[in-house]
Amino acid sequence: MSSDQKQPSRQSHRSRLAKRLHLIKVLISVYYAYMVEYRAELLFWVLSGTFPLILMGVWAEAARSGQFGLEPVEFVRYFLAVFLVRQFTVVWVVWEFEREVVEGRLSPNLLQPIDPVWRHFFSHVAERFARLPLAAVLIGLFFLLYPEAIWLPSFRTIAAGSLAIVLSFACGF
Amino acid sequence: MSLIRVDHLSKRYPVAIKQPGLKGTLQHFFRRTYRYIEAVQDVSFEIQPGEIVGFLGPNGAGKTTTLKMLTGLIHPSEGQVQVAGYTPFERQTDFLRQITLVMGQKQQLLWDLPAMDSLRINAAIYGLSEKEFHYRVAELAEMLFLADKLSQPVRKLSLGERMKAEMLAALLHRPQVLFLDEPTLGLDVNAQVAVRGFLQEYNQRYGATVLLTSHYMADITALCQRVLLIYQGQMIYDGSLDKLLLQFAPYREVKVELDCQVSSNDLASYGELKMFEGCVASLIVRREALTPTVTRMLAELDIKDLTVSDPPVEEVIGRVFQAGAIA
Repeated sequence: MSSDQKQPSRQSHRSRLAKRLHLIKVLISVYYAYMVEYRAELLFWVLSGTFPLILMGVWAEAARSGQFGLEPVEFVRYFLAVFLVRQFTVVWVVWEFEREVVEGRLSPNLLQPIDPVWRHFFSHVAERFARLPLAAVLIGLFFLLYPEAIWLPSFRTIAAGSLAIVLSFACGF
Repeated sequence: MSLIRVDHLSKRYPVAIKQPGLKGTLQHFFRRTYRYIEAVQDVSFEIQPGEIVGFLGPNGAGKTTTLKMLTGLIHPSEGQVQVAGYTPFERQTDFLRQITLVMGQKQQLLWDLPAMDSLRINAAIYGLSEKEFHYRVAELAEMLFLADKLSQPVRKLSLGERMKAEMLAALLHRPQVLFLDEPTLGLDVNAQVAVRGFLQEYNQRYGATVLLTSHYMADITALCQRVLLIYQGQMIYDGSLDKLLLQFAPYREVKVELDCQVSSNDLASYGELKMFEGCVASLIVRREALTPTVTRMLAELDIKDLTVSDPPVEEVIGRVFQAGAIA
């Protein structure tokens, strides 16, 4: 193939890629808008994931008075990490998909040249962006009240943790 | 060459049967029984590019099932379908870019966001440039009188505005084949007129082919020259609306305002007396006898006003479905 022939093909490949990236940007931005439309609801969703913080108190107190493998502050960090992981791994696609099928809202999406699953996927991704600031505020507040719990994990721990979160979300999805 | 070709199309699907009570529930869970519905049976027709065709039938006749097979949402049990040269259920991207399906009361717009946000998603899915997107939205919004409503959350729009916004979303990629399932369902008269006008303009401007189902005969009479009638899954008529009316309404309605001295017995000699209240009477007269009858009435009665009209189309179609088949 001559370089003249390669040129248009490379351009169309680039244009297709640009369109896909634009689609991803639009899907995330619109679904982000959708997720932050009801601010109170979002706050309640974040608060509903605070169960590990309650358990944290119980276990930290138990570690103070009993013989456990972890120190109270390690329990606190563990449950804080659990809280954070839960914020990133919430999945509701089955419930939403069932509603779409029952209410007949799936049909128009099936007639578009994109698999409907991508709408769900990017709505979940967008929701993480909407949820993150609130979760960060909660953690910041916690560290302010309990500064001994502050720690900085190693780069390797952060990388492995992030990978585990992504895999956990993917499995759940 | 036909844009839509349907050849001996049939759809048979199972419906689960459940008896009431706990025993019925358990039986339904462990050993489910089905009965089979023949939703569409041996239906064939062709539609040419640019045609607007009305697809009529009572509830449960098989209209929506046929539309779903034409759009590729469900597989036919038997028969062939070709739309714009594609087999719909293969769901090829190029095919999906050429069609749209609008279902009244079914929404694709995101409920809590302005319609503009859903339109942005559609534009990105169909790969429209920013410039093209704004041009098309402005054009369609103007045709639908919707420009100032697109930045309001969809939930705040009236039913008519919402339907128009749904239509805008469904047509943003400028499809060549429109499948419309009850697009004016539940709309008030003004909104119905607006939607009809829009569809007519879209068809003329882009030469789009339209297959439309509706329970409102005004939609059909305003938009369609040709109608397909389906009854109990079978096609019973494919032809012009005028011919159908002529065949099933071989009479005219003559409404007269009279001198109040006339009795119902006097009027009965001119035709079948449908209504006689005060000094106004309505008579059913056979088409072939219309001219001599009206001439005789004008000569023999003291008439203040006289109008001749076709019977309502709803009445005619109802009569066809009652008969079950075209004679």
